Amino acid sequence: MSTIGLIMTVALTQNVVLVHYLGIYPLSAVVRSPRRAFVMSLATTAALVWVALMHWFVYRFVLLPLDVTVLASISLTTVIALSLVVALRIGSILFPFHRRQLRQGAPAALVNVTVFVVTMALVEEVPTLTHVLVGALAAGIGLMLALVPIAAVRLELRHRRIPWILQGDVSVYLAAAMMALAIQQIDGLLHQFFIPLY
Amino acid sequence: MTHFTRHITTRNPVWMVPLALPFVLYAGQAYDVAVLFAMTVAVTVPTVHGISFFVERRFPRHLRVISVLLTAAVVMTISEMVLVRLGQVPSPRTRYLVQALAVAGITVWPAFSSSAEESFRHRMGVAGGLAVGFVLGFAPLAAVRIVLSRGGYRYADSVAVGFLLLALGRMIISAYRRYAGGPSPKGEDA
Repeated sequence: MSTIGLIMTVALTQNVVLVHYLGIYPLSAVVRSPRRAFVMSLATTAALVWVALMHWFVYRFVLLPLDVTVLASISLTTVIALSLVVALRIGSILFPFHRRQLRQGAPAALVNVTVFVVTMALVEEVPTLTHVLVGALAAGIGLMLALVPIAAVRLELRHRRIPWILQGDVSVYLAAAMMALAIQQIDGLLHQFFIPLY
Repeated sequence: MTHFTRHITTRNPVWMVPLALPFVLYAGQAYDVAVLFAMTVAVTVPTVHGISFFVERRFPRHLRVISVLLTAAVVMTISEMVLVRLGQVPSPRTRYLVQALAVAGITVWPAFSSSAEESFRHRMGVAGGLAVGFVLGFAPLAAVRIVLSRGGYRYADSVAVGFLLLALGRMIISAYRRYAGGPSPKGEDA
């Protein structure tokens, strides 16, 4: 698969939120404002690239040579857990006045299904490290392309007079459904050019 | 209301506090995958916390997250090996999602939200409530999607229809709560 094909596949035709829904779990909290969605998407993209890099080395140089790929999920979870501890430690040294935000944001950015499934799929399905890193970056961009518009729609709806029954999480779900419908049409067009990764 | 019943009703992980959206939206597409995920969550979430509660006590507080995640990963790997031994070889995507239960909100949330003085009874009440709440909340959603899919509606498997059904469910819950005199949906955001 070419680099462009990989980027298009991971960012659009297999968008982590709108096609596969591998979203981070406090969805309502993340899409509370476009700025927060943008920051969380950036943090998750950084987490994706870092975890993919670390897991690629473990997978290629330890698990494959020893023929113990069945332990891949344990090694990936270990990478995620250690990364979280290190990120919290470094973050609390660099940003001592933002410890509370770090304690809330770092687990949401690192310990989530997006980071786990995208990393696992890329490391197992894509041959080279460069492509794995490009794929991780593209998945992060895909996450941003989904979360920021949903947050913008939600913010707009909060300032409008909408029926009480559509307030709260319902508006988030409806915004996500509309975005997913739109990307489904793009997916239909692109599917014949780019083979699904998983 | 106990912690167990609270996580089945007012903090249900499917309808009220979406801790398992990836699994709800993916697994509700076919009977076999729905049953696989319902059984896996029902068994693994309480098992992880039953073991992890005691392992965590041997770690310093700031490293407890490692023990929870590693216990979850080991339990999920064993579950996957049991499935393969039973002849259930899932597709790559299903396999990735089963493994991803190790880091999913529904698995790690009871540990992330726990306090230092938490009792075993409390932890198991939360984990058991989330597991039962997942199965009970997921069953009607999966049933509707599978019926739509079997009925020939080709978009029933899509994420968009999953979100629409979740929105519809939340609207029904909000209407019921308003009728019963509960908090408004706007208040849930705060």
